[in-house]
Amino acid sequence: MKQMFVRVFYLATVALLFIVPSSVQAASLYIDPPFSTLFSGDSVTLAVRLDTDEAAGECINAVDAKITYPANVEPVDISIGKSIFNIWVEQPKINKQERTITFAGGIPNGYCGRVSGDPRLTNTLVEVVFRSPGFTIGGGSSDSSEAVVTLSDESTAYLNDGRGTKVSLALYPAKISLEKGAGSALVNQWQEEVDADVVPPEDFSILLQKGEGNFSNKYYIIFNTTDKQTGVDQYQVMEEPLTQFGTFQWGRADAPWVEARSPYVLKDQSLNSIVRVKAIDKAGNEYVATLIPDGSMRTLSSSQILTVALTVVSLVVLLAVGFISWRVIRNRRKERINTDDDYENDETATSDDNEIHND
Amino acid sequence: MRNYLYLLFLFVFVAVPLASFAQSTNIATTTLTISICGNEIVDGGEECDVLGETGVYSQTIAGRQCTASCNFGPYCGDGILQTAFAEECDDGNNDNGDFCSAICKIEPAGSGGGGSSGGGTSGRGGSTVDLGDTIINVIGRGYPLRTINFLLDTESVGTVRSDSSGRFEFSTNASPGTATLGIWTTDVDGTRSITLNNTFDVTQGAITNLNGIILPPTISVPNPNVNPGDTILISGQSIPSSRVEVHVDNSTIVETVTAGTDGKWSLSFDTSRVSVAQHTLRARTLTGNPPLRTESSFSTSIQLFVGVDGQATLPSDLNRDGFINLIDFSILIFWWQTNGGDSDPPADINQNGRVSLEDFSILLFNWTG
Repeated sequence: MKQMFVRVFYLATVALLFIVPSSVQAASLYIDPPFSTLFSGDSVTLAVRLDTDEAAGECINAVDAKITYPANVEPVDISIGKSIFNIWVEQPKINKQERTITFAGGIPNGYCGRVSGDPRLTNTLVEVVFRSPGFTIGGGSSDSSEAVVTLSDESTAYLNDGRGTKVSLALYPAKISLEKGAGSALVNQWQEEVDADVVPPEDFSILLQKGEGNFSNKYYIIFNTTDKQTGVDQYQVMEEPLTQFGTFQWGRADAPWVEARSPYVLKDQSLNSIVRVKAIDKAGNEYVATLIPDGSMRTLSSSQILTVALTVVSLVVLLAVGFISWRVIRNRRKERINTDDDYENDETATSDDNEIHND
Repeated sequence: MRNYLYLLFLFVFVAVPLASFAQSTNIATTTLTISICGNEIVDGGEECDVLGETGVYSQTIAGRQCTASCNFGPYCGDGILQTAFAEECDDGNNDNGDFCSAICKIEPAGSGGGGSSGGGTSGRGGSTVDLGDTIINVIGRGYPLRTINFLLDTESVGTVRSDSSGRFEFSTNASPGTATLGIWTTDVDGTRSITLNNTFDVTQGAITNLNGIILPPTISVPNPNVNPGDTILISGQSIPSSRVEVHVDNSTIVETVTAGTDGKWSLSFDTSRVSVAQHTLRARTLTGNPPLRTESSFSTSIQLFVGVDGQATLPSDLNRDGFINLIDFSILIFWWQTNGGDSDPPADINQNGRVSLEDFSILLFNWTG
């Protein structure tokens, strides 16, 4: 009977916690599911979700959130694949020292609530994968049987009203019950999602801009894409020098992929490089966008200047060597001619003398 | 159960005689429908009537349970998404192979589509199956003979021209997953509408229809700075012949006008009705009549400065190219957490001395893609 009462009470609490975020007349930021159980070695995915006050016609376009978690669970990964946010001021980041997860992002023109008939709950901002501390051998394990993941009061949201009005947010935590033993089978839903993701990030293009009063008046590139499965993990940029100088491809062999984020100031400001941006999702699928700067925008790069200078120097050296060789050859020929003339003169003189003597 | 029997008693011996009395004296004609929950007979207004069932969640339609109030408890197949019971979807049936499985789990790509014989459950095999195009189809109404612009996940995906009744229809390919479709236009006077955003899930290989879109009206005033007591003309464009509600501040004053056949509407507003202060004006469109009345979401909020100074618009086009998009966002990020330096227009859009999330929010509000 007591067990029955406890079960009914638990179910009622779960139901109440679930209902509260959707029924109150204010925007709310909540962690879903509010209750979960984690066996040793398993992992669970918690979603940070946003609800708006639909009755008031409220739309929210930016959120800055801070999640805190206790030491007895460990965040292992973050996914933005299902996020309603397209633009991130600060990508979700785990700070293991402070045991916080922070992010700041937004959706152009705002999120205005659930569309009637939508088959899924499409109000996710980020998903965080938590893992249990695992098995402890030799004692010393924590006695704590639950972990509460909370949203800090510092979390803020802004109305899509064109004036940056702060919204009064109701914040709801989530509780993870930690079971000491192992479950019937190892559960790692996130790993299954990663394994199932064979779709690369969405196509995107690279925009080339020149700073006017910003970016130190330098050329920079802008890029952004989404991956609707496991989410974009990182971007990498490569500046690959053009190949029109044939054998003189300075630095080409060393052009590396560099981890970067938009906006990215180009290293080759002469625009003589092909710019490639690679978006890689959490499953390792990638999409590479390419930008070949317009020829009219290019100026001489240092490698080109070096190439031209070397060519000129080589030509000058060749000409000098040729000229010197020509002079040397000519001088030698002259000397030889002179020598021959002298010899002939000597010969002539000798024969004349002989003739005189004969006479 | 005993309580229900008391209620039954009250209904039979009190309500029914009262109703009969009312009829006999010709005071009113009320028809009472009596239903008895707990008699194991499904009466009118009841979904079920099963003694001993508590209405706990069921994973099947067949196994659904009746509640104490003679309605069915939650179950997979009731067409309602119940995430509290780990439902990922609920398409109103217990069939596999239709993107939502028999136990209300999302069926990934390749698990079969449209009720065909696919039926597998492995997402990995899916990429080899031709599922057809994934399409979003939009049908709605806006202002007549205007170009309607569509943004999918911040990127412009096309335009369409509305007809003389303001009706428009648009289709676009989309990637499966969470999608946000934004719709905006300009009215006949060039005033930009608010971007109407809808966020929803797109199912792979299926057509997701978005019906009943009503574009909120445009709203403008000739001069946002007015003297107390002046009468101002608030105007805009809406669906032809629709009613337009103008809300002052937080709906403390609501005025209704009817748009013309060209969708244009206007309202003379006496500012002596409001205090000397800054006020907000917004409007929405009403179509149909109760109970089938439909209302749009609100228009852009505009500011009205009655007897006070103020700046009505906040520029967000940081590179002055006529669009507010990723380029402007990049410039904002360049000046992030600074005072905006000598940026012109200022990256510190709200001029509060720091480029921060408030400025980001304003930029996102003005986004054109």
